[in-house]
Amino acid sequence: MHQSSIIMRAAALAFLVFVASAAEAQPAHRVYRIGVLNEAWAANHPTVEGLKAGLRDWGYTEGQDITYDIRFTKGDPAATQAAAEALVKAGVDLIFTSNESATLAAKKATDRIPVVFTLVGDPVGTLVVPSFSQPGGNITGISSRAIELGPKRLEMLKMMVPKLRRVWYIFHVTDISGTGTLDHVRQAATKLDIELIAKTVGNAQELDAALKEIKPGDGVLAPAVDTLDIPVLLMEASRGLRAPAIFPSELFVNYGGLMSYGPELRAQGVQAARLVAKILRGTRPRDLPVERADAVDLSVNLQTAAFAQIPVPQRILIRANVVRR
Amino acid sequence: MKFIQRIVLLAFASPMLMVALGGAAQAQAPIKIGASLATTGSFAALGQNQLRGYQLCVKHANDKGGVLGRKIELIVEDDQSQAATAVRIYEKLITQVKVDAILGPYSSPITEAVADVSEKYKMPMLAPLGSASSIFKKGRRYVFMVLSPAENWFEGLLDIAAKRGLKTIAIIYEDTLFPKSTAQGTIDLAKKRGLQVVLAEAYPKGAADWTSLIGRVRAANPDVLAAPTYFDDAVAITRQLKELNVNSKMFGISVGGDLPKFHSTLGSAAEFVYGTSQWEPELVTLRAGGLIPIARQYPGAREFVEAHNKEFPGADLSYHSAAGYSGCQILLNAIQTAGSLDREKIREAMLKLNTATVFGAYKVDEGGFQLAHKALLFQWQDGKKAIVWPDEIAPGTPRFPTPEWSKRP
Repeated sequence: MHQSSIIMRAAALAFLVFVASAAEAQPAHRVYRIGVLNEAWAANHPTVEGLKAGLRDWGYTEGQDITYDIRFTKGDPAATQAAAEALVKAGVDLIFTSNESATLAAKKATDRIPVVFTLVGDPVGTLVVPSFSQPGGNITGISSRAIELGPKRLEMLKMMVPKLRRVWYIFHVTDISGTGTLDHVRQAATKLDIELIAKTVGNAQELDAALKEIKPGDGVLAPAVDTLDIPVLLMEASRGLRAPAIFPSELFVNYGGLMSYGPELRAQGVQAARLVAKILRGTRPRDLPVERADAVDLSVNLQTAAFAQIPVPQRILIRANVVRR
Repeated sequence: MKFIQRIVLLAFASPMLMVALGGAAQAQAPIKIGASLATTGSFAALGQNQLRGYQLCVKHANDKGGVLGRKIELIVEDDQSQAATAVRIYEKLITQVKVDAILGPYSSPITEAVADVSEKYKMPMLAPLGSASSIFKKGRRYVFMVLSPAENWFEGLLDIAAKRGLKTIAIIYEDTLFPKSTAQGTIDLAKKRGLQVVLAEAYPKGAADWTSLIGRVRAANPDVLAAPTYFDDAVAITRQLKELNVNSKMFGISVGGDLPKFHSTLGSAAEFVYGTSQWEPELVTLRAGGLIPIARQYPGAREFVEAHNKEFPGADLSYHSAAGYSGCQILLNAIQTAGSLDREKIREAMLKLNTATVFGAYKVDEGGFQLAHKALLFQWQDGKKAIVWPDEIAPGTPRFPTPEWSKRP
């Protein structure tokens, strides 16, 4: 009785092994897990929305073919590294990042899991990749072109307000994109006859003090990195002072910023989705050159201009892709 | 006499109103603002929320010294959710109590009825909870809308459906003013978004059984089911959909689904249901694109939420509360702008105001029709309302498609 029981169990086990082997032989439907890392305050950062939309177009339906593990760190760089490591530990198939801090955190956390970045203004200067054409390692992505666009933003602001004489450029002390573009912005300021006051801040108190130094008539060049909520607080401060301010992306113009010049955030997510899709289909990140953000938009909010009593020059209106009335 | 008793009883039931009535002892007589509200009857839950909004607004105004240097006295009577009763109350308020101004009642049908009274006496009336467009399309001059129009209430549901490639929709609705307006607007929006309307059918007010109607929904097999209705029916229809095992990829209701008791009554059956809201307390913390706080579009909303929780601990706080507060804010703003209690001047001020309140944007056309305020779409997820539309402010994403009843957790 006992022997027959053992034989039956062995037979059952053999059958299960056979069934399992047969199942393995079938091409299983793979559901990919994408880790998302940024310093936003909610899961719906426009680059993430763009990524999702782009991947839908590439045939990856959320919930069926792909899932997202989204970690956002609310402007706190100290939390970003821990979040990157948590994603690696969670075993995601790919990490999608937005901004330098998140990208460098992901790079530090893994040299194995593919990383696709967005909102990195100067990927080479910030040592994210050695070169655009040969990114090497496990990282590739979309450059948001800070080196060329930082000076152009100042130029656009001057075009909006020709009498502008003094502009504040306030960014976080860890914002390597801000630091990296500073020399280029300074050169542009000299050419435009603008006194550029660059200020790095390390905490909320320093930021508050810097904001109080902005005077009516001054201009504001907002940074791209959201650490300490600097762009938002600059938007509020500039509105309060009716000071002209320019932002890196249209999103700010939609919510009260005067103007922006740069690639739209969501579009960069859509663009990056193509790189993600290729990686999911087997291409190595090192074989995918870093791309420059496709389109650069000039956006203007006429309501904010009217509130700040800034007459919008015709040549700005002609060049603007997006005019919010 | 009976009328006065009701006011006094309400005053004792409400600390806010006692404060308001206390103003009568001051040197200058208070400005008297009258309203009828559904504090009992089928609309009671929402009418009470609206009342708390009025009360809080009056308290805050009086705390700041009132308007035109005078305190505000709020006089409210229960219309028991009956339009005819509300009409009698507004007649009394205007002709016997001789109030200086009025605020609207709860619901579109009651607003429709009492709008004739405000018109008759040329008394401007902010109608915070009346959103059937037809009220404002009859050439009336003294009624003003605060909510976004009923026709647009399912704009978010249809936007998500269209983006997800859904093709067909069925609409079942109560055969009364507001749900009919929403149903007609939904039909128009569906056509614009390329969805085929496979069923659009009304049921009578007071219906208790939707078995045959839901049977026709099953036969039509729509991708989307929209039910413009009120709280009690919303609960009953959801329950019967479950009992009859009828499911669509999306199911949305218009009014009442935003109340916490919708979920507490239905439990897990409320999960995945979409609902329209005109405002949520959560708005004060949301960020567009996860980056930009949108609280500036709702100035004072954070303080309103905090004050509500302090003054009415445990009481429900919904868009009806905020709309009530907002309607009162707009009236007081208009009185201040007019610089007097002259009805024509107040009316002119209401027409010209282009402002934002705790409830969001306010701007009306010459017929008092709301142009600026936008609705939200939420979905019940794990017992909470997750705002899923408009995309730019929605922190959550829809759980889509709605699973079959047998496969739900």
